[in-house]
Amino acid sequence: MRCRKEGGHRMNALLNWLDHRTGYRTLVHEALNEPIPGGARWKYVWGSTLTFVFAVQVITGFFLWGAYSPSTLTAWESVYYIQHVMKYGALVRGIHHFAAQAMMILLGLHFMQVIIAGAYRAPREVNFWLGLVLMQIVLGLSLTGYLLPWDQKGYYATKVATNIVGVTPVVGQQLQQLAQGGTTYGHHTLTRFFALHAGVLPSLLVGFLALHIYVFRRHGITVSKSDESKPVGTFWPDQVLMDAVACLGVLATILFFTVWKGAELTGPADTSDAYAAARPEWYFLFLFRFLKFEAVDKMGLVFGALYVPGAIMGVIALMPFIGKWKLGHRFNVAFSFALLAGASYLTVIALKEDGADRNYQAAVKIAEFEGHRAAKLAHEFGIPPTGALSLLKNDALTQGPKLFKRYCASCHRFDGHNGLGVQPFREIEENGKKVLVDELATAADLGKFGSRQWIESVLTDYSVTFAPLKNAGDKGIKLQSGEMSGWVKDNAETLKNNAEGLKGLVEFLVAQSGRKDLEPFDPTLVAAGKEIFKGGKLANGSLTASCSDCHALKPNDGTASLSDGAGSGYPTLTGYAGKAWLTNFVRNPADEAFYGADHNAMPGFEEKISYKELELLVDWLVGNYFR
Amino acid sequence: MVAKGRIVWEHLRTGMVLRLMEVRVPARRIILPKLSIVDHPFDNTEALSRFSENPLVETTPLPPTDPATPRRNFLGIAGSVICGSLATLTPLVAGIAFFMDPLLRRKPNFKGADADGFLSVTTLRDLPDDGTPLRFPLVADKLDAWNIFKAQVVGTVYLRKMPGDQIIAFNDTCPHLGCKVEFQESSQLFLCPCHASSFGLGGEQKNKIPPRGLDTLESKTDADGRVWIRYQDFQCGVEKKGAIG
Repeated sequence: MRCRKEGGHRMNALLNWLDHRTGYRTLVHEALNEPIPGGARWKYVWGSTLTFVFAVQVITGFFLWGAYSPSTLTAWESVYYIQHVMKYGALVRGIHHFAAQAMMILLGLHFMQVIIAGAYRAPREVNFWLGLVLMQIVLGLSLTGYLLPWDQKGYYATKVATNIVGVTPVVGQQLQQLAQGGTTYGHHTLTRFFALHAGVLPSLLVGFLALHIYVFRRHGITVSKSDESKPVGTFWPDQVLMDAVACLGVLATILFFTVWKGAELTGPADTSDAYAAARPEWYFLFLFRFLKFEAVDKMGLVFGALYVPGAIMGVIALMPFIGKWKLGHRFNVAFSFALLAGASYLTVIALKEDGADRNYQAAVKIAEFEGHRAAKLAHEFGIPPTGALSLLKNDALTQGPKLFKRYCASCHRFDGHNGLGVQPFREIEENGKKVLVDELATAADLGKFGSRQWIESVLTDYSVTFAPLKNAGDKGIKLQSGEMSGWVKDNAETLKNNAEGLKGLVEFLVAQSGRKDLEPFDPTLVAAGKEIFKGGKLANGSLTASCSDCHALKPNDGTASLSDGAGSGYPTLTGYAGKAWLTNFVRNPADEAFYGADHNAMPGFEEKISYKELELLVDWLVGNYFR
Repeated sequence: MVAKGRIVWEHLRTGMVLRLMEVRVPARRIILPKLSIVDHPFDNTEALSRFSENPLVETTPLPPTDPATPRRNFLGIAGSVICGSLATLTPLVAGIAFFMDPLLRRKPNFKGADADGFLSVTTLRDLPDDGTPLRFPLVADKLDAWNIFKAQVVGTVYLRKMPGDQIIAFNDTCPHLGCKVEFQESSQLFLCPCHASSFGLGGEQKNKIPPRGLDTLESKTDADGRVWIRYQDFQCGVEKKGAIG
């Protein structure tokens, strides 16, 4: 007991000593004993939650800084490493990502609270303006931060923003180049944005926040008429408790989204490819949509992107003066609500339109897919010094669909779409209305090409498999009802009545491809199928003509050629639907070994596609890629 | 002293508000009567003068302060401290845990060794028969965080061929502070250019500068006469040879 008392004395003495030299007691007292006329209120928490979220951003931001590398070859890569490899990286990045969005919402709430309470009026005008400056800094932090991962979404969203800067009258171009660190995006765009994001803007924010809080304390809280008669409370502990609970609630929300959704990382920025889903983050979406109005567009980008937002900010900045008029406060409140409603409305229609836009949806899906794919490849193979984008550029699963869309989708489909998930369509005018009409395919759907299913459908359902040829004019119709079509008509029943035999024939043909993804091949079935191919004999009846009567084939088991074929127009089936076969086929389908000039409607791609592209396309079609 | 402080504290808690009430009179600019609590660390002259500068327009006197019960006050303080700490510590702890990544995760430095961790270096033929140490680079795919660099030198070793084709392999990193040692023909010593550590042909210490002899590495020779080394780095500056990672 004695001891404790003495300890208490000593502690007190030490604190007195410290206070004498620092005056900390006055400081703590000043900070905590702010009287709150009318008592603590939940509606006063927004400023504190904003300060709290900023602190969260500083803390998580510093740790992320310790792992981030700003250059076009390492930005996405280091963020991938943070997100997918480093311990607790997804957690810290998730908090940082969602806290940034929470800040936007809290900013809105704080602003509305200030306006409704009339806290912008004398003598608080300066503090209101300080708040507006803080708002601009936070917007700047969001904008600069969104680019840093250097992924598709961030890259194209930010590109739009810097291009808007570029249309600023007189100094636009110079401003844009200063922001970008050059005439195009590159290493220096990232180093500059990073310096802004992690250095300049946070420092400014700290400075202005200190001023904001200082001036706020000078005038105290703005108390509403109805609260004036209520007892006075103090900041500590009444209001602090409410603030702390609110901060905890905000944090819980941030953590919820971090765990539920996680911070997104789409594919590495690809400057060489069109990206149909360039959109800003959701909180700037209203501005994006605003610019899309025809009327706004006609007025020019400068009008929509600079003058209108500038005028709105101007009105907001003048609110303290407007508030002096009789109906000024009501105007300010109405203006703010109208702004909020307008922005919400524009956001909703932007989301709705994008929801209905096939190209947009497909582009977003691809960006997300590429994010996962690049992460998977990076995890498996490591990232070469040329960056993660080069992993994707050499990946058949990523490039194949794009090449299919470019070279094949004008005639073929892939499982009903163009390779990239979009059914090709065109817009036509019908009774003055714009209507989307599907483009008709004129060649077979290659979604299942080379698989057991494909071979079976060719053998038993030829006219259906090649039905799209009917859309290709006379030649197409002729080809669709050619010799093979006739053979299938004559033999489909027989094959269907010999289920085992059909299975064998299919297995034998599919085994010729040597495709790893279709393994294992059943050796008994393959052997049986080989005999059917050669002799046409089935357990229950026989084929009108055996396969080898027309088609040349040298089996891939090393045995002798089954047949030399019947000549031009009867495709050689050696290694059918395998990589080599398909490569040669695509290069020149009119070759004697394939359809021959008379029976072919497909252009040869020998001259149209580079070898590298052809290899990626074929690898994708024959399933030859890392899974 | 303590008693006086307490009084002043209480006075400030309530007095501040009392003063506020006094201030709330119709005048726009009013000089506050200074209250006489200035002889103590809780000097509130400044706080008072701040209030005095406020252009206060309201005329109604403030209601009395809310008499907080000790129990409510305690709950408020406890709640504030708990919620506040939870809110700020969560991102901090998450950040620190993330920062600890290098300690929480094993990261190999290279890729391309055989199943037992050996890299092929040279052949017996290429090593002098008299046991003279020769330096060889070890080539493998270097791993650095997210990157892979194909076919890079991931370390260098000194090899000696002893009678019976026995191989002695040294990691050429000085166990003192990590510079690379150099074999000097004239003195038949491994010398470190940084702090003059020296080692004999067998890797033994020749002076007191390094804490231990050169670190030997495991080696094996296959049927084709290829020499393989299991390359490792060791903690510098300590007597005990301990592999890093």
